[in-house]
Amino acid sequence: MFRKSLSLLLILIFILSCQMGFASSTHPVSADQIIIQEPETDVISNEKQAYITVNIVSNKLKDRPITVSIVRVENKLPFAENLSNDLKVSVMRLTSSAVGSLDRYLKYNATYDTSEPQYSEGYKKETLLINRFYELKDSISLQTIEINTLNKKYKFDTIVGNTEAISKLTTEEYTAYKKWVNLKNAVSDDKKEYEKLQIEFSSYFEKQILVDEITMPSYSKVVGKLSIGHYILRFIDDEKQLIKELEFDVIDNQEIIKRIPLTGNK
Amino acid sequence: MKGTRELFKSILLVTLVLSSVVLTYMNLFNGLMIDDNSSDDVDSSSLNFSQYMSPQSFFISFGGLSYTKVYDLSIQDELWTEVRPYIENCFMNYESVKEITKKEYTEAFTGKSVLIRMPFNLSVDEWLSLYIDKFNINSNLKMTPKEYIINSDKTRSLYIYDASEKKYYHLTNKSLAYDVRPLVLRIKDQGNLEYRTIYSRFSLDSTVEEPFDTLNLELIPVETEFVVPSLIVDNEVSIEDDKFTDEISNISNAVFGSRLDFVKKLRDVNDSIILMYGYGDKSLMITKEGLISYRKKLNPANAKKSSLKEALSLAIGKIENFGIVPEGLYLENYQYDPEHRIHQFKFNYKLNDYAIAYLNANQSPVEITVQDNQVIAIDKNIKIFAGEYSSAKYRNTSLYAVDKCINDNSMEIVVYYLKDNDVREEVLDPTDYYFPLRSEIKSIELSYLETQDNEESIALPIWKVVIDKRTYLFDGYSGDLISSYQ
Repeated sequence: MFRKSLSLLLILIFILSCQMGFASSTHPVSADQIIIQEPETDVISNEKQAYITVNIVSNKLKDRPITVSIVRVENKLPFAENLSNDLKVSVMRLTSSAVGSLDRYLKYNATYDTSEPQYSEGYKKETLLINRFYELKDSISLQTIEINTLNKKYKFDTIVGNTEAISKLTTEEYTAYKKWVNLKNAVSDDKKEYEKLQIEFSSYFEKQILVDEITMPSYSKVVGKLSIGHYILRFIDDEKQLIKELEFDVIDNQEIIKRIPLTGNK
Repeated sequence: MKGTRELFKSILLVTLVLSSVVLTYMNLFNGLMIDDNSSDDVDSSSLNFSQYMSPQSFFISFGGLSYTKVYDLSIQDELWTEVRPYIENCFMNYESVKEITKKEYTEAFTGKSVLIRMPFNLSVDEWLSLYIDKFNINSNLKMTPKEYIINSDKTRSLYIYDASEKKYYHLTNKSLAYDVRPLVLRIKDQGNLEYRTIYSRFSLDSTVEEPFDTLNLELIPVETEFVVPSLIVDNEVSIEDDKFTDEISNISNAVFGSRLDFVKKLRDVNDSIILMYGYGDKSLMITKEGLISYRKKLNPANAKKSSLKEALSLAIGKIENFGIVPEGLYLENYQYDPEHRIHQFKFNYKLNDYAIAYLNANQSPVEITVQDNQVIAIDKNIKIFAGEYSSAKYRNTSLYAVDKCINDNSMEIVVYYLKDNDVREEVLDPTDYYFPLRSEIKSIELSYLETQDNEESIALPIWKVVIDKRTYLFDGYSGDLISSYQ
């Protein structure tokens, strides 16, 4: 009983310390201290001037200014035509939607460089990264299918960790089980590498629209009219780490009109 | 022989006595004639109130976060001509009056709507008495409206802010509906500078708490790329000999009549010129700085108590016949002293669409005092546009953004803010007061301030910002704090 309580207590302490560690960020301002007033919605008309208005409840900005940036996410890879001949992927596949959703933890721990990107000569390094990215993507996809097929047949997910149930498996089932576990481990390793490449690969589609430094608690800027597309507004600290971001779309004005409910007039 | 000489002496004596009697009579008669002819004892009046009693701040809401402010005089006129009859109709034909919260008032200024702010405080009854003849002054609306909001979604409503009582009201009209939407759309089509309300610009609902004003409706420009030139200005009347007689003639004729026989011209030690009638019954003083001061002794024979309408019509009548009537002249302030029955009217005017600012409070370009139905004093110091001014210092580039002006001078503003509120606290970091200070912004106006540059009189664009109880004047080009006053 005592041992159980002690282990529970230890687990609790561990969870708490993990949370505290996560909460005590080194950012000069935390995400909730940044109040994004404008853009007001995640959809903006291409015929209206876009404005950024942000208020930051912090007095640390003077010593540790933060950077605001807007990037336009291109649908097609801007330098797809210039990649080296070593490219093993069809150019048609090089789209931003292929990047997929980024892992939150990795995203907030990545380094964001707002200066003009420096690409390697002949885009050799980038070509290698893209090859590896799609290799991993395809491999993960194939292995996942295999894992799912095995699981559908043998329901391994219900006996994981249950040594008694595992010991009762037939030789054929056990071989399949071993394969299933190995595949899962391999996918897990691939995913780790894939997610790291994902962050870098996604940056290839980005084009800086605005970069500015915020030193005062209130910031306002006329961005001007933006062309139709997908954009990300980012707030980055002095260590180039992401504090907060907002994704928005610029769409055709006619589309906006269609979306206004008939009764509304605001 | 001796008898003849005596007779001659007697005749000469009689002739002398008679001629002295005749000449004295003539002189006396002439004097009376002058007094009779002096139409100035009965001042001319004008009922052209609407032109001078107009709001000076027009805020337009286009919906969403988008707002603008109208400075263009012709659009201001158009707005006022359209909106004023509806406001008056609401006063006379209201169906219900309800006191509302500031939140409800703020919500009325969303969507497509118009907010207009009067420069002076007049009660509803005083207001109506000016426009409606024989109005039975009892509207039961005991309020002094400073601001009005008309919202396009509520076509029978009028929202009122009474600044003296700090109360908000919602009036509904019994019979008349007015849709402000076409007016708002017309202004939108003209292309305007984009503004935001202070509460949205500084996210006041998240950045400050009560008792600070989390619903501050004042507007602040978000676009800064606009040019307002500095201007070269002249005085209305120059004291230089070659120009003086010509330039003063309009005013002196109106004040003294066409006969200047009994007018003395004096030059003061400070170079001012004084024109005086009789023993100071009436006088005009013109200073080097351009001030034209008119004084008249109160004539007890014509004294009678005057109503606001009578006094204002005398004041306007006088100013319309007192030299140049500047563009955009408007009533800025009105005060009444019941003990001495003195009405005091202060007027301001526009140069290039912007009003004139001064380095201290209570100063106006035109001040008229009416006592017992007689105009007893006028102080007028207006400037005449003489061209655009450009120099290295006052280059006509984009204006310095008003929020940058406040940021750059934040230390001084915080120190004043604490001093004005009797808070003894050492200011180490002005950013501690960043959002509270912004929530206390009462008004932001572009104005012109007369100043000197290389011995030239110029009108410099400035930001006139009222924060809490203090007015700050910032140089429109450099953002430097020029002056502040309470």
